[in-house]
Amino acid sequence: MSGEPPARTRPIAATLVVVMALVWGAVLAANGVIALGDARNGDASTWPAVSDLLFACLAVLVAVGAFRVARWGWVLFMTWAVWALTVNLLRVFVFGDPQYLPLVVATLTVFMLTPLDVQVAFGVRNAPNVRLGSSRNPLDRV
Amino acid sequence: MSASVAPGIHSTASDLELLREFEPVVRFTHGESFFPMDVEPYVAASSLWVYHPDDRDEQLVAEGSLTMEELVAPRDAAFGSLFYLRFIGPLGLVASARALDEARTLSKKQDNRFRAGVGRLARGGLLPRLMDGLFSLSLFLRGKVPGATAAAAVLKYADLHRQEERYVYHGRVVRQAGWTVCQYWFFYAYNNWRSGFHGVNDHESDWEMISVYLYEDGDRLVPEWAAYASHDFHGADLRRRWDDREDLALIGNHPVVNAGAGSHASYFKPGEYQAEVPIPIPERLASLVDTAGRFWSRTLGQGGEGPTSRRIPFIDFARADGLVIGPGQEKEWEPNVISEETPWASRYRGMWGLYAQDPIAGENAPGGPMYERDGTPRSSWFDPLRFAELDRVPPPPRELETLEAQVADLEARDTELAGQIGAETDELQRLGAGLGGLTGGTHLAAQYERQQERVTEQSQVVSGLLRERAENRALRESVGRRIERARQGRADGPRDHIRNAMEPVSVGQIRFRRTTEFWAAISISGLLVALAAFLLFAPGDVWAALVVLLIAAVVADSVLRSTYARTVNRIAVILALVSAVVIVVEFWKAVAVAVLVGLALFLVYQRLRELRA
Repeated sequence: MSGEPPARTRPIAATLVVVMALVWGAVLAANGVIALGDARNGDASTWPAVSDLLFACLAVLVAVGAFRVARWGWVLFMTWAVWALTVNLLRVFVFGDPQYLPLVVATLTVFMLTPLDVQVAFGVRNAPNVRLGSSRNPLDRV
Repeated sequence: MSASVAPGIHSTASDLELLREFEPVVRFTHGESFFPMDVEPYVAASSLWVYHPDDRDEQLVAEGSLTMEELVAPRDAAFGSLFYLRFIGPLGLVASARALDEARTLSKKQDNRFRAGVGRLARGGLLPRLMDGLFSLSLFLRGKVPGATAAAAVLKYADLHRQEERYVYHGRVVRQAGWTVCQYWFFYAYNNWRSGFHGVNDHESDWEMISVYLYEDGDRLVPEWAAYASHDFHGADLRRRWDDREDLALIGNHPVVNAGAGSHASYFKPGEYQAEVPIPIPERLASLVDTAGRFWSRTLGQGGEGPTSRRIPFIDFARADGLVIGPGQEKEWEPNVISEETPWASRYRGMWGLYAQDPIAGENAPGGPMYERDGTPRSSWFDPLRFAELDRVPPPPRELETLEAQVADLEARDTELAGQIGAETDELQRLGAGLGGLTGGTHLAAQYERQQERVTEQSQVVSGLLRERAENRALRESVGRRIERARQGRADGPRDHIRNAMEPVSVGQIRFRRTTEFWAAISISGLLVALAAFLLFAPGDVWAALVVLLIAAVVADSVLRSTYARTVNRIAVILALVSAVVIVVEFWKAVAVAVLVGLALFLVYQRLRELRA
């Protein structure tokens, strides 16, 4: 027996999240760079650029966390998701300025990362007890 | 078989001797104001009332005039009427204030103030705390048994106690199915769990009970089980075997009971017990909440109960750091032997305190030892074995003969089955052969079908007999092993019968940091004040503010209670569900197209895989 803990297998959902986070990070970084250029030309404030760049860094961090199936990555993503969903839902319901793309991305990723088996893989929850369902094999009763 | 466990008592002992031999030692929590008492002074200090079905309360006998004879005098009343005692009369504002003040002074003077410590509020999260607040508010609005009544009861009981300091149990011995049961009924003037110990309810009078179950071994009666009426538990979980040193503490032959503060529930171990009280909500709403819970755990694959749990955590403090009553202790018992011949027990079917008309019933006084609140017989009185699920357990000396008789029955049945199986199998084969003879003739189709049905039925008969034989043999083997164990001493371990052991909550679970407890105490009020401020100063943004405040409060709460990951997951899923609805409503055509195209691609993929295979 080796003393090494068993390696965590990466669920497909985590791989998809890595891809989505990288794409989203790239989009935000591009936006940030463009906004920064506008700000340097004096056409706009620097804050949107800084915010986009920060969120791009966050997206890369989420991608790294998801790739390594790390608990902190999952928690970081969920924190970002709560923020993004709250802001975008308020835009829909209160401010009348909906932005559906980030809403769709956040919603899909939340549904990918929250099933119990994915949480177990990320070490957020313990594995549930085994439940024996009914069997279709006539030799088995349960 | 188990005579070495305890010395027992001679079987010719009188009921009183039996009761005294096994009477319990009861340990109370510091701060307890009420102790087991005789019913007579309580009745003498109470008034007798009847509640009429037309919602009218009528006083029948005034306080000071009620005797035990008056109490049990036959009285007719219409269906739906309820008789009840009233220990504390209605209090005006001045009398209430005076009672509260005097009770506080008395508690200080006796150095008997209860300190809960920190913990209860921080245990339940924001939603249970909100529910707790609403529950308290509902009690305030219902005003069934106000706090001043408890204070007045403390003073009145203290007064009775000063006149005559006695600690009484009402003992009863009953013999049933080979068992001798010593029941110890404890009567308290008041249950002040809510007003005195942050619990769920208050009510006038309180009946609690523990039992000791003995069996006859030669000329001795030997104790085998002790059962305590521990709240929130039932059946076999209420009893502990006499040799169970893990849970059942004994001082000589006296079981040790740890009484809950104010609730007077009986526990085996000292400590703080978390009682989870279901939130009283209408049935339809409850079923909606349950459906949401199932959707959460199964459909969304989240497991557990989800954010829709409808229970409020409360603590029953059974710290055992206060007065101790029992043989050789600080205070000793005065037994009062009762039976079905005791008039107050058998002939008074009313409640032993105020009928508060509380629909949840937690604030109504209990009935007596023999009867429930509605006057129907109490099962723990007329069937004390079933109370602790001992009705199915033979006394130890009878166990072996019972098991051997069972084996003999199983063996006889096995022989019988062997004959039946042979005969029925012959019949099945005869029918099967006949079925074979019908094949080939097109004109015999209807007969073939009938014969086929008979064959199927007969096959089921044979299969059933074979199954019964297999099950009986497995049972016989298992019973045989049990007989072997019983012959060697004990068939079961002392704790084998326990399904849910009542365990006090560990100190680590109870004690949260002071900041957490402080946050728990102010969070709901803080939220309400912040919301009021938004309503006043920024009414246009009140909905946005409500959402943001609520999420911020829940997240802050989870950080302090070290449940951040779980909480943030729950919030994210709830928000994602709302978002999904928004997206589907807004882009239903695109969603439908995506689903259809996805389905088509999946089917093509499946079919192509089949072709390749």
